Amino acid sequence: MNDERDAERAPDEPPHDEELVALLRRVRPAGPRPELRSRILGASVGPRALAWAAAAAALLAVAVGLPVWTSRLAASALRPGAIDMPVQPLADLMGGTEDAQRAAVLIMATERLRAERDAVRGGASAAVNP
Amino acid sequence: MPPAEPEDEAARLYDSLGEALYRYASMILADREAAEDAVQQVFAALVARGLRGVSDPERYLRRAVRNACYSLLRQRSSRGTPVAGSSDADFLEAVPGNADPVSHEIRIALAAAIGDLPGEQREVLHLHVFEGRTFRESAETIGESPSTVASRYRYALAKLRQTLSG
Repeated sequence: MNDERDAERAPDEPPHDEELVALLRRVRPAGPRPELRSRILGASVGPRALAWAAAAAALLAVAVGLPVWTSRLAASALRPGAIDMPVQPLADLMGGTEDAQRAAVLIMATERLRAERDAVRGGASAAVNP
Repeated sequence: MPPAEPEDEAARLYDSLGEALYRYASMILADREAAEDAVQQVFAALVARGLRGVSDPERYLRRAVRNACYSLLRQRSSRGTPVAGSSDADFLEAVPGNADPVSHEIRIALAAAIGDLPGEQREVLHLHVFEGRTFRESAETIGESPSTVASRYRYALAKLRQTLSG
């Protein structure tokens, strides 16, 4: 038995290459586990699946993100001083009082929100129907 | 006849070459799980991109698996995970049907000794001993000169001799 010969060999006696190679030829790298095939071929995602996944992700982002984004925009737009440029002439036109100032801010914020929302809807529609 | 879908092509190639590629990766990495990762990575890319413009799929896949293996070895090395000695003895198995089957202890000792070799030497050992390629054929496979391959083989045997008789 080669194993017995190997076991009996003195520690300082190196085996010859032929014996070593013969020993190596009694083993081999293990083969793949059977489940690797399904793991590889089942888990891989093809380009078509990727395209569908991208489209679904875009739709989901629009559906979930739009209400969140508009509510955040409304909150920030209604902060005092958030819109300043065109507000003052409108407030002056409405009497220039403190109430007129607040009303002008509200009107401008509403207009800005509407414009932003229309722009986003236009963009989302173009993304879904290129 | 329409071209095969990448998924079908990948399945066909896995069935014909997967086992050999896995054994090759398993020997370069001396690690079954890492070999699975390398082979999976290559076949996932194959499914995603197909084999456009590839004239020799076997050669292409072997190169791709080889690159994936060395990339994994580099990652292990850069993370400070010791490459040598990190092997799992299960990456070697006794050749079935051998009239003189290798004992469990010898297999463990061989796996440890082979696991201590650098990946390049394990690769050459695999191509020459386990796949039965000549040095010239091995050299063509890995893109090195036959003398480099022969030298790696000699170093591998010398180190194995030293480890096994030490």
